[in-house]
Amino acid sequence: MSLINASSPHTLAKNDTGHMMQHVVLATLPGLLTLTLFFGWGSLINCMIAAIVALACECVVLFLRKRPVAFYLNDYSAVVTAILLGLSLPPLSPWWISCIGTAFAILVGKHLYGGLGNNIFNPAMLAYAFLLISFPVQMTSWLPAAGLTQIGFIETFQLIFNNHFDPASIARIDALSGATPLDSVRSELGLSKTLPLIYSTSPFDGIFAGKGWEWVNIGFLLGGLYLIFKGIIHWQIPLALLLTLATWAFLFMGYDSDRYASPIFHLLSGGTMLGAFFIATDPVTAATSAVGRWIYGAFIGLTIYIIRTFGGYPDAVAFAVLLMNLAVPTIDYYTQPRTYGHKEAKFGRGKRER
Amino acid sequence: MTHILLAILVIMSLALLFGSLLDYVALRLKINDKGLVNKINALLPQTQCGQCGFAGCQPYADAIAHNEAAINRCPPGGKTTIYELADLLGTEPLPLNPEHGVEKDLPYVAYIREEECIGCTKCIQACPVDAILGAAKLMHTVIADECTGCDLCVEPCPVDCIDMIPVKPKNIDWIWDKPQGGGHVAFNRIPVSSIQ
Amino acid sequence: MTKHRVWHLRGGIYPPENKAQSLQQPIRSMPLPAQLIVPLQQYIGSPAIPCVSIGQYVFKGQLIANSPQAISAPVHAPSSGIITQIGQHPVIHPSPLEQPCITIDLDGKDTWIAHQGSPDYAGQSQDDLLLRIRAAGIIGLGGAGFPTAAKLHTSGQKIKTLIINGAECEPYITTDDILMRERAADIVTGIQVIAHILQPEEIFIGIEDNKTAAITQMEQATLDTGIEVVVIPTQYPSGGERQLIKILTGKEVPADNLIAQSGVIVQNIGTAYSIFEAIVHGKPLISRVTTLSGQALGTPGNVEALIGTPIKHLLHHAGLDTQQVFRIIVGGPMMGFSLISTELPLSKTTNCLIAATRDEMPPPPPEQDCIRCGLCADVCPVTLLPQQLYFFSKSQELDKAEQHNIFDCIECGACAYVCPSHIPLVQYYRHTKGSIEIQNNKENKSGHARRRFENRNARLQQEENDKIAKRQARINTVTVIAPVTNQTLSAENNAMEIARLKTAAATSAKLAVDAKKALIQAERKQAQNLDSLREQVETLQKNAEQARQQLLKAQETETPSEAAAASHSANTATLAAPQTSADKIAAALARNEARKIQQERARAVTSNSTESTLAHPDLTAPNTAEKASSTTEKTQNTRHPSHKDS
Repeated sequence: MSLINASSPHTLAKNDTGHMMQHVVLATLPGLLTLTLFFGWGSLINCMIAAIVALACECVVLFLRKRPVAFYLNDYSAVVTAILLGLSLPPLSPWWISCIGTAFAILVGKHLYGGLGNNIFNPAMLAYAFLLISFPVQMTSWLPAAGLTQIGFIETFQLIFNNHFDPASIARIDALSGATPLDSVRSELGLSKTLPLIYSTSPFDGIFAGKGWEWVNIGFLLGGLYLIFKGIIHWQIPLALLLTLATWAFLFMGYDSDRYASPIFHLLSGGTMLGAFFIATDPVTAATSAVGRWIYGAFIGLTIYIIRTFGGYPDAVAFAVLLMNLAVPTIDYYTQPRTYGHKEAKFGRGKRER
Repeated sequence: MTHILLAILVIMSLALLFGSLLDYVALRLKINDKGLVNKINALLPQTQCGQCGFAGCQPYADAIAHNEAAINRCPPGGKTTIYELADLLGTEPLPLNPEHGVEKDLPYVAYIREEECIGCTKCIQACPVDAILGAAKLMHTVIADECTGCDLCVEPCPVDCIDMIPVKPKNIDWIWDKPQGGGHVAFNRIPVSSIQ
Repeated sequence: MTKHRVWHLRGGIYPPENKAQSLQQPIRSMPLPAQLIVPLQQYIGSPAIPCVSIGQYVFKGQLIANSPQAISAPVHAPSSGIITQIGQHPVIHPSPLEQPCITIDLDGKDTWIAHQGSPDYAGQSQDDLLLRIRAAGIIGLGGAGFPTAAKLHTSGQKIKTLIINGAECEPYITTDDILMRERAADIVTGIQVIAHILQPEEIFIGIEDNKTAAITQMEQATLDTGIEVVVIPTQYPSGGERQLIKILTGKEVPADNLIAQSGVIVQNIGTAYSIFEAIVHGKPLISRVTTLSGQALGTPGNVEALIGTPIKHLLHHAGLDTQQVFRIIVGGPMMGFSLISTELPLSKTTNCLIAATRDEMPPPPPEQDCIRCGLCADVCPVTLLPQQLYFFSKSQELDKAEQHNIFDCIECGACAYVCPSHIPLVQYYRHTKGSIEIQNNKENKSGHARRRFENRNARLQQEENDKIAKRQARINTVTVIAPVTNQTLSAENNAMEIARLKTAAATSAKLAVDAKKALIQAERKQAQNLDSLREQVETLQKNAEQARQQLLKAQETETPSEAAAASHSANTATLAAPQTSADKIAAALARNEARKIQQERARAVTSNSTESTLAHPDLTAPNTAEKASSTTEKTQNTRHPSHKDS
C-alpha cells in the first residue's frame, strides 16, 4: 500500500474559491431580477453574452499560457467578472459592446497582469471605463423604468444583435431611451432648476429615489447582505463606502438642499449598491488589512460623491473604484497591523540596508 | 486631415521634449555611488579564490562597479550571488560563465594528510584567510570552520598532501522544500512495504 | 470561588475535534517489543553522548547517554536488554536524515535498576531538585522538547506566574486529557514540585472547556493547594505558549525575549507528571502516554509506550488496518508531519500518532492562485499578514518577509486551514524561514572570511613596512660606497662602523651562498658555463671570508683607522658560507627536484634564460611556486648566519 507525504495542516476547512465565486454570482440574482423586471430582458442577454465571451477568452489565454484549462476555469472568476460587467452595461447595448468589454476585461484587465490574484485594477470596472470613453453614445443610452413588457424578449434580442446599424433599430432605440435619475439631476441642475422641482418630474416618481433604480439597488443590497452573512466578503468596505457617501451627501444637503441631492438618493441610484457590495469588495483589488479596508471604502465613497456632484460623469462608481485600486498598495504599506509581541506596527518595505 | 497631422506633430514634439529632458537629467544628475564597490563586495562570497580572474573579491567588485567585468564570473557564489548582484545593479541576471568554473552543490573544505606534511608553510602563505595553522618544520593543519574552500593551498604544496573534501549536510541544515505553485499538489505518494 | 478572568485570543479556528474516538478506554500499556531504538537527540540542543558499549547489558532506567552541555538531557534505557548497536538510524523527523541512536535488544524481563524517590520534595533545595530533574532526562513533553531543568533554571529572574498547559487545543490529541482524568493527584504533586523550585506568586492550570471530566478531576485535586484551574474557551491554537499566556494573563510576551524574562513559565501537564515520577518515585523519563487515533485503527486510544518503541509495533497492537490506512501523521493534524515509514522509534516528544483513512483525510487539493480574500489574516493568532508573507515567500523576497515578522509565525496552520485556494501556506513559511537562516549564515561566513582576509593583508603589509623600515635604517647607517680615504670616515662613530661591517659581512655571505646554490642547480642542469660559475663562487666565498675577518678585527681593535681599513675591505669582501647549510640546501632541493623534474619535462625551459637568472640572486622563476620556494630558502639562509653569529 502507499502512504502520502503531505505538509501540515492535514485537515482543511471546506472553503473553496470556486464555491465563493458561485455564491457571488448567486448574490447578484436579486439585483438582476429587478433589473429585468423594470428594464426588460436586455441586462440578462448582456450577462449571457458576457459570460460566454469571458469563458472563451479565458480558455484561449490559459491554453496560450500552458496552464491546465479546466482546473483554472473551475474557479469561476471569469464568470463573476462577466456578470458584473453585464450588470453595469445599459440594457440595450449592442452585442459587440459586451464582447469587446468582456474581452478587454479578461485579456487586459486580468491575464496581462498575471492571471487571477495578480491584477491591480478591477477587470470589470476597467472594461467599463474603457467602453465608456471609447463608445460614449452606446454607453449612455439607458432605458426608462417602463417594466418588463415595454420591449418583448425577441425584440430585445434583435435590437441587441442588429448592431444599431439598421436604421429602423436605431430609430426604435432612440425612441425608447431615457435618462437615468443621475443623468436627470446633472442636466437639470445645469439648467439651474432646483432639486425639489427636479424630483417632481419623471423619472423620479419612485418611492425613495429614481423609479426602478431604487429597487435595483435594494436588490443588490440584499445580495450583498447575503454575502456578508456567508462570510464571503468583509463588511468593512461596504459599510465605509455607504457611510461616507451618505455623510458627505448629508453635509452638502444641509448646506444647500436645492442644489445637492439627498443621501437616500445617492445610496439608491446608479451603481452604488452594486459597487459597494460586489465591485469594491472584489478581494483581489481591495485593501487587505482591517484598517486599510476602512480607508479604502471611505475614500471610494468620497470619490463617488465628488465625481457625481462636481465631476464630468453622472455615475462615478467605476472611476472611483479604479482610482482607489491605484492607492491600495500604499494603503497596505501604511496599515500593517501590530504583530503579537511587538510594541508597534512596522511600515513598509523592509529592504535590508547593506 | 489637418487635425490628425497636427495631433501627430504635437505628440511627437512632446515626446522629443520629454525624451531629451530625461536624457539630460540622466547625464547631469548621474548617481555617483561611492559605496557601490563595498555593496558589491558584501554580496560576494569572500573565498578570495581568484576563479573570476581577479586577485580576490575586492578587485572583482571594483571591476563590476566600473562595468569592466560581467556579474557571472563567481562559481563559489553561484546562482544566488548572480541574482543578488543583478538585483543590486538593476541588470539582467546571466547564467554562470563556465570559463570561470562550475558551481559546486556541496561546500568543500581542505584537509591536510598529516603523515605526509613536511612543514614547508607554502600552503599557509597561500591561504587568503589564514585558515591553516602551523609554522616552519611544524605540523600544518586546516581549521575547517575557517576554510572557505577556495583551494588556493592545493597547488603550492610540494608533496601534494592536501585534499578538498565535501562537507556532508547535517540535520540542522535541512529545510523544507518550496511548494511548486499553481495547479500542483503538495504531496507525494510513497509506496510503503514496511507495513504488514 | 471567584473565576479568574480570561482574555480573548484574536483569530483562531474551530476545527472538528475528533477526540472522542481515543477517549473510549483508559490508558493501556503495550506489550514489550523485541527491540528498542532510543534516539539520542530528542530535543533542542546537542545529542547525548553514549556511555555504554555494544554487548553491554543494561537495566530498565539505566543511564545510557549523557551530555555535559547545559541545554541537554540524558537518556536512559527504557527496558532491560543488551545493547546491540550505537549508530545512525532514521528517526521521526520531516527530513529523511538519520540521527544517532542506541539499539537495545530486549530480554523481556523488564528489570528495573535500583532507584529511589523522595516524597519530601519540599525539604530539598531547588538546586538539588533541578539536578534530579536533569538526571531523569526530562524534557518538555508538549511537543518542542526543551530540557526542563534548563527551562526551570531561571538564574535570578523572578517568576510571578506559573502556567500549566492543559489546553491541548489540537484535534485528535487526548494525552493530557486522559492523564488529567486518571492521574490528577500525581500531576498536582508534580506541579507543586515545580512551584517549590520557582516560587511563583500565582499558579494556573489552563484547560479547554471541552474537557469536562478532566476539569472536574483537576479541580478536586487542587482543592486547598493554591493552584487555580482556569477554564478557557475551546479555540485553536489556544495551547501555544504565548497564546496561553495572553489568554490567562492578558500579557503579551515581547517578541525578542525569552518567555521567562516576562516572569512567566509554562509547563505541560505531561512534563509535570514526569517530574512527579522522577522526584517522588525516582524513575527517569523512559515512557510517555501517546494517543493512537484515526479511523484506520481498530482500537484507538491512549497507551503508555516506552521511548524507542518502533511505531510499527504500536500501530499493530492498536489494530492498524493496512489496507485502509492512507496517511500516518505524528503529532496533530494541524502541526504534525506525515510519515512514510513506520520503522521509526517513538521519541520523548511524540504525543500522538494518527493513522487516517482516505475519507478521513483526503489528499490535499491542488494549489490555486491567491485571491487575496484575507481569511488567513482574519484567523492568524499572531496578527501577521499571511497573504503578504505568502507573496514574499513565493518571490523569494526574504528581506521583506523578515520585516513582516515571519519569525513570529508559530506555524499553527490556521491560515492554511481556511485558505479557499488550498495554498500550503505553512510550508512556504517554513521554507522561507530556512532560506533566511541559510542566507544569514552565508553572510556571516563571508563577512567573517572577508575580515580575516583583510586582517591578513594588513598583517602582511605591516611586515613589509617593518622590513622596509629596518632596511632603510640599516642603509642609512652605511655611507655611500666611494674611494675610501681617512678623511671621509667619521672618526667618532665607532659603533656605526661595526654595524656597517656586519652588514657588509652579511651581504657578502649571502652573495656567496646564492652563487653556490646557483652553481649546484647549474650542475644538475649540466649547463655550459660551469667553470665560470665555479670561479665566481670561489671569488665570492673568498671575499665573504675576508669581510668576516675584517669584522672580527674591527670588533677587537675598535680604532677608527683600523675600523676604516676593515670596512674598506669589507665593502668588497665576502664571507665563505658555512658548508653545513649548503648541504641542507642540497637536501631540500633534492626533495623538490623529484616533483619539479616531472613538471619541467612538460614545460619548455630555455637554458639561456635560466643561466642569466642564475647569477642574479633575485631568481625570477617562471612560476610562482619556484619563486616561493626560493624566497623560503633565502629567508631560511639569512637566518642561519645570524644564528651562527649570535
